[in-house]
Amino acid sequence: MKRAFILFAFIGLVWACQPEIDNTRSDYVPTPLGLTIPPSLPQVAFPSDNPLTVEGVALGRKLFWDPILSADSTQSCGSCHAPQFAFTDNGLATSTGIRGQNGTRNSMPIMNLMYSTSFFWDGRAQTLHHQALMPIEDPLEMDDQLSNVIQKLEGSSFYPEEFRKAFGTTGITEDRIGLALEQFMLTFISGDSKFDRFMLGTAQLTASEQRGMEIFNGDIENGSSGPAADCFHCHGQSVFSNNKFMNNGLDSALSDLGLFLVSGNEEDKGKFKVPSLRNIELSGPYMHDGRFNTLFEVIDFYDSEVENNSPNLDPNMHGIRLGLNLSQQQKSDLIAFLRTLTDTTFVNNPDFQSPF
Amino acid sequence: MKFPIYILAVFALLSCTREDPDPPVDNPSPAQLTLEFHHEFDGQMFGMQQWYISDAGDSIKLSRLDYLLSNPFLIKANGDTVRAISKNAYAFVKGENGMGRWEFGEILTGDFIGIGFDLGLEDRINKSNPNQWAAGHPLNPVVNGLHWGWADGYVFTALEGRFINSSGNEDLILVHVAFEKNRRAIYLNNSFKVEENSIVQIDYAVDGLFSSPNEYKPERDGGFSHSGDTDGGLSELVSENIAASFSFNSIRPE
Repeated sequence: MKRAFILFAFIGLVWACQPEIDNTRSDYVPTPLGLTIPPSLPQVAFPSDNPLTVEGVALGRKLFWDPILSADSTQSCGSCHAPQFAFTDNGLATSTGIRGQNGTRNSMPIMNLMYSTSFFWDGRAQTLHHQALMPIEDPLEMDDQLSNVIQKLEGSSFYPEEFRKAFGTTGITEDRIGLALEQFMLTFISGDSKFDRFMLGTAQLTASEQRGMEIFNGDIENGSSGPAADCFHCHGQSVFSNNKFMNNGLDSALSDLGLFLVSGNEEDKGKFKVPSLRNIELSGPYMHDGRFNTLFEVIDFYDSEVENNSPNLDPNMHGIRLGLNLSQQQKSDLIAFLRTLTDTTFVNNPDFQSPF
Repeated sequence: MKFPIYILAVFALLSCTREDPDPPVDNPSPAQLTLEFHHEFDGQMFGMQQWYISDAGDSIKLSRLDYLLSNPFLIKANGDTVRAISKNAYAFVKGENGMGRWEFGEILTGDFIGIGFDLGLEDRINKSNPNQWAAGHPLNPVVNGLHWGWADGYVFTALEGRFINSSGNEDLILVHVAFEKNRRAIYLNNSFKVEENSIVQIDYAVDGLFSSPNEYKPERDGGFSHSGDTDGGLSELVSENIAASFSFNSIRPE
């Protein structure tokens, strides 16, 4: 009896010495979150290494909107990615980061990222959860250290419990921060614009929008008599982006080398990620440096200002570089079509707004 | 001494389980077949973003050579046709990898006298809703980046790059081969035997796009086509060359 008591006492001692952090319940499973891809969008697989859960998305939403991720607690992800601007930076050409510092590139819209295989204008992140961490340590954006951010989150009154709900334990790591942000951003699905409803047969385009769509899809050198802007080659299918990196001929002398800065390949100089045109009405200014304030300026560029001598000009600019010769009415029609890509249900979705 | 009958039985069983190294054709067994496309220029492995000299003397550098194939079939020695099951009926091949694979699927071992497939898609599929295809399917527009829109369907081959013109300057090549007029039936008339899971290597001579059967000089013939009616027949010229550029190389065990 005495020996049994000693044995139990020893077991109890060992048990008491276990680290407190491991409160994993082997039966704990976060609530799976199934997302529906709208019928007007291509089918796609979500990242298999980061299954979406209700709790993971909720945590990601808090992190996205919380300025605690920046060094002086002034900048959240949402500071430069506002929903009403299609998750771009409030109409700014380039973003203003921590301590009023100016960034060098235009804030990219956040939507339908499940179709992307690399991120940022220059493709320097290969996964969304890696992308999500980079602005935190970027000196022009949030200028913090992830180790410091983790300390701040650990000291929070609610984040440890939020991480436990999302991942099973209260442990906070860089990886988990990135995964939660990825989960939240993957829910930003835009597929309910007038164009989508038109494709499903539940909405009609106006005459101007219809003409604009024909110009958008008009194929230079296709034998047809109508005007053509050849937009669809790079902004094609219902994602309105080919997710490639291309030089569209903005400059004959390059001030920003784009993809080259990541790859080091000469043929990548001047190439930038082709953005989706969904919600383009809301996401100006345009281009990687925000040089064009309006869609009319963008159309004017493609109409007659493409630099034929731009290094690594993409072959898909072959017809466009010679000029589109669109009339003012045709330009207006094209813009009328582009405005059918605005998805107000998406930008006003209360699930995407700040929870604070 | 009499041989125990159970020892005879064991020998009999052993002899029945021994693998036949060369199964007779009249006793076929299932085997997986894969088609493997190797891109070459003048017999050497082809690379994107590298300068090559065509047979016509043009300096050519390609940045994209993506294509869609469909409807693969084999012809057996007895003349029967074996088709891939529908999920394997399409292939998207990216030139930038120097090689592409197409799972033909399960067939029965035996002797074959030819292999065939189409460049491009039949109209019924070409004009169908591209969003019907599952993630990862060769015809999913996100996978192939070749969908051109509901009216025009898919690009069958995207040939993009640069050439040096007579002034010594780089100029652009963009030939998008599309539409029913450019769907090409390709048949490789070669005998081969499938005895186990195997890979058929098919070579794709990229140099042939500029030389055979039609000489193609971008400066003379045009560097640009969207397969419209006003390209001077360029897309047809190139699609004929594409069809002639495939050849049977060999078969090997998987």
